[in-house]
Amino acid sequence: MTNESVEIPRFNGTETLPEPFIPTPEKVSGYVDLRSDEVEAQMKSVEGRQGLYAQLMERQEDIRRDHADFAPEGLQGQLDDTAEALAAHETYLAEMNAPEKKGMFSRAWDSIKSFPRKHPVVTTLLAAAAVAGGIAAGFYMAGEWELLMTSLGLDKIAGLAGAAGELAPVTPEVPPLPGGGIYDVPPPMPTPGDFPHIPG
Amino acid sequence: MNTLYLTQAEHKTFDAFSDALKDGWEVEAETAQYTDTRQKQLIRLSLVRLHDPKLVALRESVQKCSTKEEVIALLQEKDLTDVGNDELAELFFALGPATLSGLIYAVLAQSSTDKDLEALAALTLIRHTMLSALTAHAS
Repeated sequence: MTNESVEIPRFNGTETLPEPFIPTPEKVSGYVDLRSDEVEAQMKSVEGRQGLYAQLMERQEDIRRDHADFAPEGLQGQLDDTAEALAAHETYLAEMNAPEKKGMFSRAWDSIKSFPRKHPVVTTLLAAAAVAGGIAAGFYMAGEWELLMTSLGLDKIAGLAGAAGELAPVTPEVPPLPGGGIYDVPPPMPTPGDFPHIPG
Repeated sequence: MNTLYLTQAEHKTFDAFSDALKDGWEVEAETAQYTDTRQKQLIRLSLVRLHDPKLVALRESVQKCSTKEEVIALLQEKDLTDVGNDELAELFFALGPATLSGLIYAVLAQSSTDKDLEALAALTLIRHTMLSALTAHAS
């Protein structure tokens, strides 16, 4: 897995591009002498991540050969972010599946599934995440995520508008104008941000 | 499920709705602060594990597309009504709180019925749960 060029579909045809380096447990497992579940377990502690970092740095030449974008100076941060995502993901799903909350979330999902006609943007975004996500296709589509969102007219919704405040919900003085895009999403307006954002 | 978890700015938008539309809905302040980054979003996307045959088939179909237009058409045609809840939860998590806030803004700006607010409540509940998890583990 680690030494192959990958056939990557592009919007304008097919060409072979190097696979970006994202240290998922499966990816890291390809460079250290651990199974992916062992990597995931080790990622849970600072010491564990330091150990993985050291082992990956020993293989940096191999990693760079497979992933032209590999940046050793950013590796520790990538490992920390991956660990954060894994831990948060576990907590998030556990919360949703807690027996006392399962009914409430079941109603929430039913509600979301019931309104695609009025809000097709939701379905389209989820479908986009489905094709962009995962180790099989994600390395490509994740890299092209911005292009995909822009092509779908969802770049502002997807947090690609730049400044934090641009996506913040606003208090419209007048009803939003129609025709803000193919989904009739009104363009976001600058306002002091009070919600999480993706820095540009 | 009659609670909306809204940020201060979202709450102001909700306050502008008619009393009839607001009737029966409770607002709780969404106060969690989390800074997402492109790297974090790409990592979350890369961690998605899909098992639903419909989504796997969609991915395979997209990989066979040769033009942007084909990809867009496939994504826009997609019906996710029979996709499992756990898979949907995965996809929302991959999109992350900032994208979800963008969605919430879009739905909020177009809300005119109780049904819309039900959808809004669902989205804000998912964001609230996601933010709680992310802030609990933020490095």
